[in-house]
Amino acid sequence: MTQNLISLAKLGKSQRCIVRTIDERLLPHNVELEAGELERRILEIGIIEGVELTVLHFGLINRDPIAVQLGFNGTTIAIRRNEAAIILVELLNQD
Amino acid sequence: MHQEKQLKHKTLHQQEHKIKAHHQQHPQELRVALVGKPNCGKTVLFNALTGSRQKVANYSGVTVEKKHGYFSTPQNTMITLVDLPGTYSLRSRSPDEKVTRDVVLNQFNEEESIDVILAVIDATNLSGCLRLILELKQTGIPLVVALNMSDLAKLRGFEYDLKQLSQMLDCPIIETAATQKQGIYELASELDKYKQLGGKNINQWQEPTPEMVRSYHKRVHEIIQVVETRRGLPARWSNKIDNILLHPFFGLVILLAILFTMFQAVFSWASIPQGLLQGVFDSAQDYVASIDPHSFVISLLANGVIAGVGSILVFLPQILTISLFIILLEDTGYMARAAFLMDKLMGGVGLHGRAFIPLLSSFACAIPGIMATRTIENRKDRIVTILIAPLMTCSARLPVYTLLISAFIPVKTIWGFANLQGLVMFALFAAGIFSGLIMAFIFKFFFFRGDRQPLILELPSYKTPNLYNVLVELIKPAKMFIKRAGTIILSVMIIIWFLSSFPGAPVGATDPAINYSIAGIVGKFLQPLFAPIGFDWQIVVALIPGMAAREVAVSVLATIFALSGSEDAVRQSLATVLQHQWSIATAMSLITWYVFAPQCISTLAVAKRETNTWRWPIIMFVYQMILAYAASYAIYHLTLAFI
Repeated sequence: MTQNLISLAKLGKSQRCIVRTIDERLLPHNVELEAGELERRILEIGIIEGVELTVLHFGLINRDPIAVQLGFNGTTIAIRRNEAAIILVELLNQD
Repeated sequence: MHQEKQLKHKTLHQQEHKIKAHHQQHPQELRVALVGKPNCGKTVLFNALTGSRQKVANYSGVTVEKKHGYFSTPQNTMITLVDLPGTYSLRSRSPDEKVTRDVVLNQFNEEESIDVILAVIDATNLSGCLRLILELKQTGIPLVVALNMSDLAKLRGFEYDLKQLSQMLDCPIIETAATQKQGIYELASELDKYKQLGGKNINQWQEPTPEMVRSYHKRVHEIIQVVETRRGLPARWSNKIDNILLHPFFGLVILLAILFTMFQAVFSWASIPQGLLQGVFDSAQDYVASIDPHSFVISLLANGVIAGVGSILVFLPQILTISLFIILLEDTGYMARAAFLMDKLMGGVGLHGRAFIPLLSSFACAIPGIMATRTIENRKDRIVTILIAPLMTCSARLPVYTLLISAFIPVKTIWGFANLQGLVMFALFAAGIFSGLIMAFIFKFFFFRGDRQPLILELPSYKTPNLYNVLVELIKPAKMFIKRAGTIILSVMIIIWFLSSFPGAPVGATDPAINYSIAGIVGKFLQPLFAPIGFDWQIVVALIPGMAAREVAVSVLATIFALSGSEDAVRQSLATVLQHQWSIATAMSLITWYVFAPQCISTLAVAKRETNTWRWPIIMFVYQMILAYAASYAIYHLTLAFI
């Protein structure tokens, strides 16, 4: 399980990945939430270990925020790169 | 379709007997909470069930709307349907979201308890909705599930084993398509079975930890494996639209084009009915005034009530236009995209992406702008947006700007292409925007210091707005606005009319009557305060009724300088009079004052209503006053020195 995990924040357009872990300690800039809250919000919206994600869109400035699509139900979720940094993913090969 | 019958567990059967006994003695009433995650069609279902029988109030202490709707079931049970904010979990993330939890768990002392929870789930995204259902089950309150958007799900090819699903969830499931009003009758009939259940619910709900969220998800996954007999197609067209609308560059261009259209609509389309309304009120005022020019009651009616309420109601077309745009942007699912596109730009001054639309609406009028801040979920972000909304140049400033610019700014071309008058107008708009952004930054820093709120936002698939729903939603702001114009604004107008009419001019007086009135006396008394920024007493007097509506200042100045004639003629001759009366420094100072000053009581009243406290309107008033005074002082002295 320790093979090349990278943060979701580093992904480029159309890249696919599988969520492996969510670790709040990786957050670059603090957000105004109590501990565990950001993790719960990410989980609640459907980004959870084992889910496949595809990066679909990003904003103009610094390519931020990003929009990812959940593999299992097609939901599109916008998330800032700052918050996406706590989501560690395994990159899938481009077909 | 009647799978819910098999579901009746024993307790329910026992309770049914009790209900029947109860039935004969009491009128049947049931309080039902409507709960669902955002974008599941909850509001459409609410409107389909209750129509226009809705009441909106605020929960004490929070800025969340308390929305109640009423309808009766086939067996004449009176249902009070409590619409709760869309939520992913019962756990409270913010003071606002606490409302959902507190109403469901009956922690609001003022609230009666909830008899039944009506949970809405999206048939095109079952896996995203079921976790909330599992959480709601824990509360022990009887649960009825509406499987909404079933028409869309069928179109996309989703098939579910509903019998299995309702067995696994242990609650009845009714298929609905709220936009088509399908399943509404069945839903109401289902609620009939829960009449006056009584009895204590055993609440086992506790705030889920991240681990519990994971296990809920696991359970959802198991349920989906069993009940989803056919997986539908993803919303491909929605993705295709997003490829254009969320394009990093063209997406912003399209957003600007949409906003430009909205601007156009408010400034030009809405001005046609606005002109008609204005005409109606003007002739009504003239007609009433002509009945008896000396009667005090007639004067109050004509110049206080009709002119006052009229000057506010003429903004109704603009408010309807802005509201229509906002409703359409919300209902189609574009609003979330606008927040995505604007997030980084607005984030630079600490504003939320969603603050963009309310601020834009404020260019028409700060009142609908402030009302539109309801789409901002976070309280702090919302208050900052409300505080800076009055700095956006509203349409009521335009008559004043136009008058002063035409009187004091020469018509000439500079830099080879730009019209100086147009340039000044542009500068006034820009001054409003820039000071607004700077103030947002300052407020964030002083009052709401802290880290940013995260952005984790679902972008719902695009939907065609439903005409009935748009109409129901459009009536709400209109109703609220008219109600306010008839109450708060009306009373303020009467007070201002009174202040400007009493005491009347003495016999043989040569000056206009307002000079002798309380407003005139107060104006002269306050004038020394405004002398440093170059205002003479006439300006100060005009500013007082101008508090009711900014543009009123123009007609008051006309009254003071004893002009008469048609409105255009007055404006023409007033410009000439003002050129002789005021120095250019005074004029520049007054224009600057109008950019910043809190010259609108209605805005302050709406800010009070929306924030539920006087604190923020007072802060708004004070900071705008300081800003206006400082800026006018600077401009007055700069102009004196250089021109």
